[in-house]
Amino acid sequence: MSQTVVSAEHGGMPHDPASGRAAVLVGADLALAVLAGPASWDDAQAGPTGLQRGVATLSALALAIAVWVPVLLGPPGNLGAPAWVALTVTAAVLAVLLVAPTLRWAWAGLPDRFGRAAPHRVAAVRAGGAVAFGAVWVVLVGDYVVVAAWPLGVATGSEAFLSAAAIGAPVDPLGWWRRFCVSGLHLGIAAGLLVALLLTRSAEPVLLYLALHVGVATAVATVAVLCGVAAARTREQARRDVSLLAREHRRRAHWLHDDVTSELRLLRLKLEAGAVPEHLVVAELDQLDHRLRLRQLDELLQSGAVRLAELIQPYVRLAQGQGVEVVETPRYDDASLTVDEPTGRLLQRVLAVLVMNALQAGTRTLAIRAHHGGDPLVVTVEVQDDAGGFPPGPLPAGRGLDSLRRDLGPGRLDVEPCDRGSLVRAVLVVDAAALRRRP
Amino acid sequence: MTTVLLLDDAAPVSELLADELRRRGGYDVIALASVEALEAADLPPLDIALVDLSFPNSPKSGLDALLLLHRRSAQTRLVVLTQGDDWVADLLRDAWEAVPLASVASKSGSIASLLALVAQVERDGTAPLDPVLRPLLPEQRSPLRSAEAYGRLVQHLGHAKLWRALIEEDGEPTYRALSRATGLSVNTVRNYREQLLGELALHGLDNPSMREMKVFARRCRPLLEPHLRAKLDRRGRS
Repeated sequence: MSQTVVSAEHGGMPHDPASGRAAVLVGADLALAVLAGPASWDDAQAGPTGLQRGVATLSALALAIAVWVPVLLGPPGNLGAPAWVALTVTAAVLAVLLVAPTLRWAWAGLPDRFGRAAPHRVAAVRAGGAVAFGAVWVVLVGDYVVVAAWPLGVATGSEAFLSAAAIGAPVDPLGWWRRFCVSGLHLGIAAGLLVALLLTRSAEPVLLYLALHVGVATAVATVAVLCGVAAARTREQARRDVSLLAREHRRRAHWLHDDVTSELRLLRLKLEAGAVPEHLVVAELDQLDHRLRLRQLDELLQSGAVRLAELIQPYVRLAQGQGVEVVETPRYDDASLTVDEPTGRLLQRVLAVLVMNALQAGTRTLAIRAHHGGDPLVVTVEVQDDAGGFPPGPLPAGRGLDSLRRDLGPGRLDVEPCDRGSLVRAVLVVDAAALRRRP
Repeated sequence: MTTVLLLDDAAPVSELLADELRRRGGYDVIALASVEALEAADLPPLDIALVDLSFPNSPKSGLDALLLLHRRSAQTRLVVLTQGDDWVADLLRDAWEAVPLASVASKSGSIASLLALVAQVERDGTAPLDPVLRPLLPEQRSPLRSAEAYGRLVQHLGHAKLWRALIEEDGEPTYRALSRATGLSVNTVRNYREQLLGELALHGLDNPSMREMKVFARRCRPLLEPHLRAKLDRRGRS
């Protein structure tokens, strides 16, 4: 039976230990935890990227190689203690990486109460790891310091790249190198080694200085290469996004043009057949215009944020197209209310039902009002016509107003007679979460 | 005879409206299809100008045209002729608050309603806004958004460099990209943005990102441009 393990270092994302790939991923995440700290997966919604995992693995491998350099380059057949130490360190790293999914209890103390890795705990683990590795490296490295500086540089560069990416710092490897060269750290080390050289008259300080620059140069090159890889991936992703957007744009444009041309074709055929008089052609064109505007509005609603002004526009244009005088529309402050898609669709339905009812009743003037205020926010939409009015009270079952009343809830839709017509008032209570900032 | 300028890139609609204005309104109509054509044209004194806002195939907008016409003659009655949809809603508001418009007409209205609006502007100097467009425009024009008020967004040369870079930046306007374009440090660019937040709030931008500032800068370029030139040219002279 498969057991699901939740890795704290993976932002709480479950892994199935039965899957070898999942085990590797969790192992890479743990390596990342030790190497790059919790900031790498600070966004709990997204785990480390493939590139971050790859860099973490590269870093772990580089550290292992750095430890193995004296063993591999030492005299054959005389491995002795260094080999045992290196073997032990490598085995420990491999054990952590491979059996990590089953070590749930060992990492259980790391996450904070939000399920994220607690920074101070991970920092302690990293510091402990760094001290242990440093000690092993210094003990083992011996005469091979220059060679061992190469993998150590790779590991340092990987760590720098991950940390910079995690905290959003600009990555500028050459700038870093220049700054290191003129830094107090570098000048201090150089001065110390010069003094050591003068005192000891041995080549060791020179070798150490050379190793320092080999390590720094390798780290800089590693960061530069990783930046190139990251930039290439970003460009590729951007190209895919653009391609996807263009395809979607073409698809929508195709269907839009297809619909419009078929509507125009139908109208032309009707004219050719003498089936419609001129005023009906105008009416049909107005209807087509309205339908297209509703489609525009639909696209806007799908974007997730719509202003009341934009919801009102198609219905005001429709009324104007039918020769109705629109005597009032909402003020800028009221019409600037921006809401999410579900609220926008409900408001659109309110406007569609109220305005279409007034137009069908033959109104000659139309007033559309909207107000909002209060906490929770209450939006009131009013449509007033002069179409003679109808008796308030029970609405005809199954009609637009009746179903709107049911959808809005009790007491949220009123009809009252007014001067030569009706005033219909719809009230919506809008949740704060439905309010949007205009994009 | 009243001279009317019609500036709209939709040539078939523009020609039809021009013919109707001549035939039914008795106006002397000059129809142009681009802001560049307006800049190059040597026109007689204009009584009324009907100006479209959106020119998708040009880097310039109707706002450039409105400011140019107002500079040439403050006597010309300026009327915006627009669809007033989502794409131009912000530009329409900028124009409404920064330029003394006589009215705003909807392109989707009938010819008769447009003729009536032009006649009223000719007679009274102004005309009520089209009801379709009224919800997009504040009743009171804010003095804090007048053309002169845009100068407060360019308080010194550093601000001018930042706005110029935002207008001209083709890619993502990151702090780093803007730092490269302006020659200022990233921290300085960040500080300039912080300094401008209060003024930007008056333009409806609440703690905007650099991308939002770029959209604003490009939209309001005709209003920012004189202030940018003043600061940048002064640097050039000194």
